[in-house]
Amino acid sequence: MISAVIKEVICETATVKRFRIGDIKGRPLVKFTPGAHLVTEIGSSKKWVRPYSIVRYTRDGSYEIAVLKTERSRGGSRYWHEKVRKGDGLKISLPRNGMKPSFSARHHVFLAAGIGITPIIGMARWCKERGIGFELHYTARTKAQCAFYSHLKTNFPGQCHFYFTRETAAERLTPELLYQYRTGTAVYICGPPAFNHQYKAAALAAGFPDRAVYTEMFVPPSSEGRKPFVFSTSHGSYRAGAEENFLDLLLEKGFQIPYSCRSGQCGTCEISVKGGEVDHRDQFLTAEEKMEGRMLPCVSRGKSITFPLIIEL
Amino acid sequence: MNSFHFAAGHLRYLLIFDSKGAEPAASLRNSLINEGAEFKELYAGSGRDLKWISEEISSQKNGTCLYAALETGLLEKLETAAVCAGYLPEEIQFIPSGSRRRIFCAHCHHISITDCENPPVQCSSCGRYLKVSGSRSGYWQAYLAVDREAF
Amino acid sequence: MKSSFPYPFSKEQRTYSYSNDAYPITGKPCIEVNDSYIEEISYKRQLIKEQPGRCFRSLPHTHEAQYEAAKLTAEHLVNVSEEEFSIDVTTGGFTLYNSILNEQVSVEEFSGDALRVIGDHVQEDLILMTERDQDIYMDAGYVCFPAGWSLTFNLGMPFLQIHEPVPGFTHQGLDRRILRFLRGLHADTPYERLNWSLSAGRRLDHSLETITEWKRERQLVSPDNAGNKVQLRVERQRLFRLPETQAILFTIHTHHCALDELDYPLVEQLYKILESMPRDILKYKGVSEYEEPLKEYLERKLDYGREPS
Ligand SMILES: [Zn+2]
Repeated sequence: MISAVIKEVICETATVKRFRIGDIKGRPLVKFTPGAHLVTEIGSSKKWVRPYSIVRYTRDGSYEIAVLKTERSRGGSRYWHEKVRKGDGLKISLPRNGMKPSFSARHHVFLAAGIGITPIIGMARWCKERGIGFELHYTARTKAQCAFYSHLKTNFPGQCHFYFTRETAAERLTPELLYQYRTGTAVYICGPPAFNHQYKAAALAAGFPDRAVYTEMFVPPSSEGRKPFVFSTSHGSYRAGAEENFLDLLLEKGFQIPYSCRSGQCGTCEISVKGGEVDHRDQFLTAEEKMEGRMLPCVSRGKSITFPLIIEL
Repeated sequence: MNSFHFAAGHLRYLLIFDSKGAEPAASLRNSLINEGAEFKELYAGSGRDLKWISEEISSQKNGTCLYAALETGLLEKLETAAVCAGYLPEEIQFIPSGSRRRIFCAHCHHISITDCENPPVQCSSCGRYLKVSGSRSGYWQAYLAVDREAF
Repeated sequence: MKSSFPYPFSKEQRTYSYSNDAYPITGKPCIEVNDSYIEEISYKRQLIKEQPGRCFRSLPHTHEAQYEAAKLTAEHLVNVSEEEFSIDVTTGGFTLYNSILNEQVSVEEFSGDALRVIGDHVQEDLILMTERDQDIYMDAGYVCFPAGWSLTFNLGMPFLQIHEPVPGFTHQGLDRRILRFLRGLHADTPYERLNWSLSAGRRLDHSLETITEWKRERQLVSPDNAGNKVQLRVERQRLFRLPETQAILFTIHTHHCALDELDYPLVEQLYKILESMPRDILKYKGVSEYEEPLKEYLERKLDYGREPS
């Protein structure tokens, strides 16, 4: 992780703040590919670990991210909004490849809901610079709550379509939009999980090949909120403390599980779960694989001390 | 590599073939009818049809799966047109009709067009006798061929 | 066995296994510099001079990634040995000073062959993979020592297609999982894996282009010369996600160790692993053609090792 500092805090809307983040020693940070995000760690003992898309790379070599204040959040976004000031220190990861724009598409369709607009700003700029066709469909409650509204309108006139659901004469974005495109179109879907699921399904139904549909689902960081849990195996039942690593426990109990990365990235330590609820903390397994009862014990674990996780080994 | 397989899940199918490609085309047509798929056929009589076919490919709506059984030469040009139009490899199935193939010599990198049904196959640049593999490069638009001595 | 030789099996391993066996190597460099540096660099340069079209290839969209990879590699050379390497970064490029070879070389940002230039200063083969349309392709490389494949033919090919000839690679969806692993690779955490095979002779260049030359050696293995002739060939493969372009730099350092240099427990382990290997893998790893003399050699050595001294 890189030591960084908050260089500027800008109010974008009543609920969205933009933060400029620079290297602590003033060296320019590496440039980013459109669609990329950072993992940030901020607060006392760097408690709040959150991924945020990079909105912009400034001339002095800083990144800008935008954070929505959500009431339901476990505290990360509230912390950013209420506590973070210019000059505060934080740690950031190197940029990560979130949604690299399609290489082969001749037309790009961006669908954004609310704060999901952040990765799209860089991608729209990328298209414009290369003269590649694109359009943006952006839904927000009201014009006042629409982050980057004037920036988008000024920079991409003619390509932006806004849908304000709470304004009088409300317009609505609907999945029917996706049926009008020619082959060679890529679609990017960025919004809350329900929006992403709905539009991903709609895009596949409209004939977009899997690889032409881009969405990003962030999962919770792997260290926060770990609970003790019980698990049972053919050898017996055991209890895991909140600080204990599930894979280590299984190895300790004599189960021979191949493992490699210990960080939920390589998939080697995968095991089968026959019952109980899993607290998945990897980004490796697909939603379908998790549904089928697979898990990676190197980062994932159980959730309950009353209903054991039943492991088949 | 001489017959198409029906790829489910596309909204419609476009089938392009020439006289030598009539056989794989017919068997695919049967599958498409059996599956109740929406499809369109284009008969490409000779190379001069390239521009017309390219325009047809490029104007297809999203969700089209492209099948082509054409002679080597026209087939590769069509492949280039499809890639330019933004088709992904999973939306394309191509079969060279006839027995001529583009082959990539593993030793001198020369690409020869040769009749693969009449061995021995020889590299037209270095003269080695080659065995043609099933591995095809989309970039070179050719099949890998390795010296017979290596087997 | 030389101390720098990356022995590929863990202590417990007794059978051949299929898995994603990569492990993180945070903080480690993408290259190593060892005793064979001068010898291998001059061999690489001779090969690329004689056969430029098979040792370096790149697609035009890799120019930025090539520069990023070259810069990272140069920085890692400096980290490995400040006495022998240093760099000067300027706008639009950098200069590498190499005191082992007494050379200096400039790499320019948009030259299009940055990987070629830096590749002349490292023992590793260098490969760039880029992510296109949510898939991974091999789009550039400076490769002198491939193990039975052709850089040129594989240029621009998807990762999964490149590995189609590897037996067992699709077993239980391993191929798709490795692809997913590569796509999830972060710049903060590079990875390493060791890939092994056996080869007849110490020749590093096992390119597909020259297969008829090096394959002959396999016919010459006998129980008497196997200890010297047959080599455990290990590729130390390292994977680095480049943060700026998001391309993946894949470096391969090939090491050899003659079977005679392995001591008793390692010979026994190798014997057991070979016994457990499926036929198709034995064939793929090039062992089938001299399996009999090899086995005889190993059995003799095991009998000898078991005798009380
Ligand atoms: Zn040739």
